[in-house]
Parts: sequence; structure tokens; C-alpha cells
Amino acid sequence: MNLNCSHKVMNKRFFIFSCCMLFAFFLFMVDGCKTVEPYQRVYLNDHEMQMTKNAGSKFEDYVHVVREGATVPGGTKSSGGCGCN
Amino acid sequence: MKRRYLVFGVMAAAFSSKAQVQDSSFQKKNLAKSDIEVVFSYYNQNGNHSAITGGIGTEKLSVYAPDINYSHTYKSADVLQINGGADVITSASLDNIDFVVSSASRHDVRTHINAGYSKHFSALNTDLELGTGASIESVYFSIPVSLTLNYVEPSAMRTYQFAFEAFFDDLRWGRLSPDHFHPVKLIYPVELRYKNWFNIYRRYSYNFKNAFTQVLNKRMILGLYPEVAYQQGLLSTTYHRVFFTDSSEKVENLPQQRLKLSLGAQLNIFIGGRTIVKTYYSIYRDNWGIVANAVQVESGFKISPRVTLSPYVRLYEQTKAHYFKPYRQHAADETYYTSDYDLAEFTDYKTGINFRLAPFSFLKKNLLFDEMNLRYSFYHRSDGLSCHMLSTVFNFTRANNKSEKNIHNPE
Repeated sequence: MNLNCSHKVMNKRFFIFSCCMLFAFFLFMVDGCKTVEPYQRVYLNDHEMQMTKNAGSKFEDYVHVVREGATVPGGTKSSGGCGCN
Repeated sequence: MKRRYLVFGVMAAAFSSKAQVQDSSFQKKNLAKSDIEVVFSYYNQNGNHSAITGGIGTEKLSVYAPDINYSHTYKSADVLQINGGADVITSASLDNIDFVVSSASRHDVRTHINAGYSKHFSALNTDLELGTGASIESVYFSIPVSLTLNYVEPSAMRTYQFAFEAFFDDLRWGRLSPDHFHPVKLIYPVELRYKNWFNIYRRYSYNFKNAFTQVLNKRMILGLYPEVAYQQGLLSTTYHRVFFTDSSEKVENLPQQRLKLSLGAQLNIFIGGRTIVKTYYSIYRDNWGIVANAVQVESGFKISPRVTLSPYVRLYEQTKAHYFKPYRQHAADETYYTSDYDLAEFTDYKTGINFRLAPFSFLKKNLLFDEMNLRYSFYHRSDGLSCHMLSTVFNFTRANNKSEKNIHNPE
């Protein structure tokens, strides 16, 4: 019983720690950013650099939502379906 | 002497010449256009832990999913989006809800349609989008509603997105039955229909999905995706069986509320002149006991200006939900129980490749063939489930010449 409780506490602490580290990393990377002018955006404007996903990738995200217990951040649906076997 | 005349002439011209006067009738206008996306996806899986038969039995299933997305951008930069499609599902395990003995031939169809309108506020660099739709299958009917706010900083270095989604589901069977065409009842396994296991039939899902992106430099962009989701109502699947250590059998029973927290981060880097590397990491936790991590790396190689190959690999792990146990391992006195291996502890991997062809060629006047994507993935789960996914996507753009009016008669 004690082992189960400590496992849950460790998971919760790891989750909170991971969230904080990700957010701190984000702030760190953001802080020193130099403005990129429109004429310097040839790489950023490339189709492959966009943060959006193509329709094939969205279909796979839907499969992940159904076949895995977790929700896909930035994914498409988060309910509305039976997820039948 | 000639030099003096030349210099004097140039100076005289400088004093008498006038700069270009801006044509007062010129107005910058956006071009109205329509984007059409045609998608066909195929999914095939197999495994031996079907929840319909209590955590054992075939999970053989195929899905054929045609889909079409239409998006019209008005000159005001407002956007109208319509999406529709149908998932044709063929499943061997669906036969076992009422023990109809046949091969992998029992099929079901999920039809869905969604529409959204995005209003652009140019002075605020903001878009506000409202969406709704409907989705129907033999054992559920769902209505989604969404509200999304997008903001782009004037420097275009940072974007913010705040979205709220709500799904209102009704899990009763009967709407597609030719004998009824209205919701009748929940479907239980045939041998368990001697009682009503649930006195509710609705499910409510509320999602707060956010996205923040930051341009780091000329070649890097970072995205952060925090999300919170809450579900309430009938979260069990009413035709899933659970077998107990004392050989008794019941319908799956899960808590009627679930809180999910997730955080994702994505970093895209353009390396050299032809290579893009996209890395993605996410963590997840919910109050059912599931803690999950996922990492994906995708590399895009520009073979030519029109052709890109993108191989990728994804690794995932999750702990099991508190209420999961395999076949015949639940004690009969447990309050909540499931043998659905989607909620079990497992690891999985997915690998595949995306082929993109972008010819940007005109098929007809005003109809441009933008690009085609062909994507294949193989997915394998540590409990033995494996599947193949294949998607083909065609994108077209149609410029609407009729909306281009005379510049001297603006709207």
C-alpha cells in the first residue's frame, strides 16, 4: 500500500516538475529572441516549417486519441465518438 | 563647357520634376479564394484483447474514411469552413455484441459534418471563430460547439490561440435503425440485457485548448500547447464486457467524471538549405491514474522544390488506469472495472513516411492544383495490437474572379 502511494506521489511530482521545466525552457528560449523582419522569413515561411498538421497527420492523431488513454495536445478531436474496437 | 551645360540641365530638371503622386483610387485588396482539400484514409488493425469480449478475442478492424474540407476566404479575410466525411468501419468484434457469427464483415458507418466561420479584425490582428457540427453513428449522436480566438503580434514573432470546445453526446442506439429512426435505448451485450445497467445516456466533454508559438530566429520556431479537458456523464462503453474472478460477468463501469491535463511542446528547425527537423514532446495526466509521455521526431528532406520526403518516428508510454485489469482478474466487489486495453499500461511506437508533391499547376482557369500528400504509418502496441494507416490528401485552390470588382467602385 505504501509503495503504491509513493508511486502515485512520484508520478504527480514528476508531472508537475516536467510542466515547470517545459514552461521555463519556453520562457528561456523566448526571452532573448531578436525580431525577424519579413524579408528574412524565407525559411520560416516554408510549408514544412508551419506548426499546423496535414490531414493525414490529423487522422493519425484521431487514432492516437482512440487507441491510447491520453489526449493529444494540439490535436483535433477530444470526444464525440465511441472509439469502437 | 559641355559639362557645365549638363550639370545645369540636371539641376534644372531636379527642381522641376515631381515625385510620383499616389493614385487616390488605389486600394489594397485581398483576393477572395477557395481552398478544397480531398482526403482518403485507410486504417487496418489487428490484436487479441477486444474489450467487447472482456479483454480477449480478435480486434480485427478496418476503416475507410473519405473526407472533404472546403474553405472560402472572403476579401475581408473572413473565412468560412465546411468539413464533411464518413468513416466506414468493418469490425469482427462488433459481431460479438450479440454473437452474430460471421467473419470480419459486420460494419458500421460514422457520418460527420462541421462548419465554422472566422471573423477577422484587422485593427486587432485577431480572428474569432465559431464552429459547430454533428456526428452520427449507430450507437451515438454528437454535437460539437467551438469558440476560438487567434491573435498574431504585429511583429509576427508570436501567436496566441485560445479555444473552447464542447461535445454533447447521446449514446443511445436507434437513430439509424430503419425500424425506428429515433433514439431508443443503450446497447448492452446480448446475454446482459436482462437489466438496465445505466440510467443515463448522455456524455459531456469540455476542452480548453491553447497554443502559443514563438519565432526564435530565422530558422527556428517553438510551440507550446497546454490543454485541460473535463468529461462528465456516461463514460463507459455499454457493450464492453468485464469478467470477474468468480466467473460472473457485467457491463463495463467507469466513473462518470474525468479530468485530463496535458502539455505539448514542438520545435521546428530549418537546417541547411533542404532539411527541416520537427521534434514534439507531450506529457499527460488524468484523475483515472493514467500518466503518459510521447515524443516524435519528423525530418523533412526537400528532394527538389516540389518534392519533400518526411520520415518520422513516435514513441509513447502510459501507465494503466486505476480501474483496468485483464480478463478474469477483477474482483466481484469492485465499484469500477474495465478490461479495455486502451486504458492498460503499455508502450507503443509509430513509424512512417510522408511524401509531398507540390506542382502548383493550373488544371483549369482559376483552379490550381496545390499539392498532394501520401502518408503511411505502422503502429505497434506492446500488448500485441498493430495497425497500418494510409492517407492521401489532395489540395486545390480556386481564385474567385467574379469577386474582383472595378477598383473605382469599391464595396
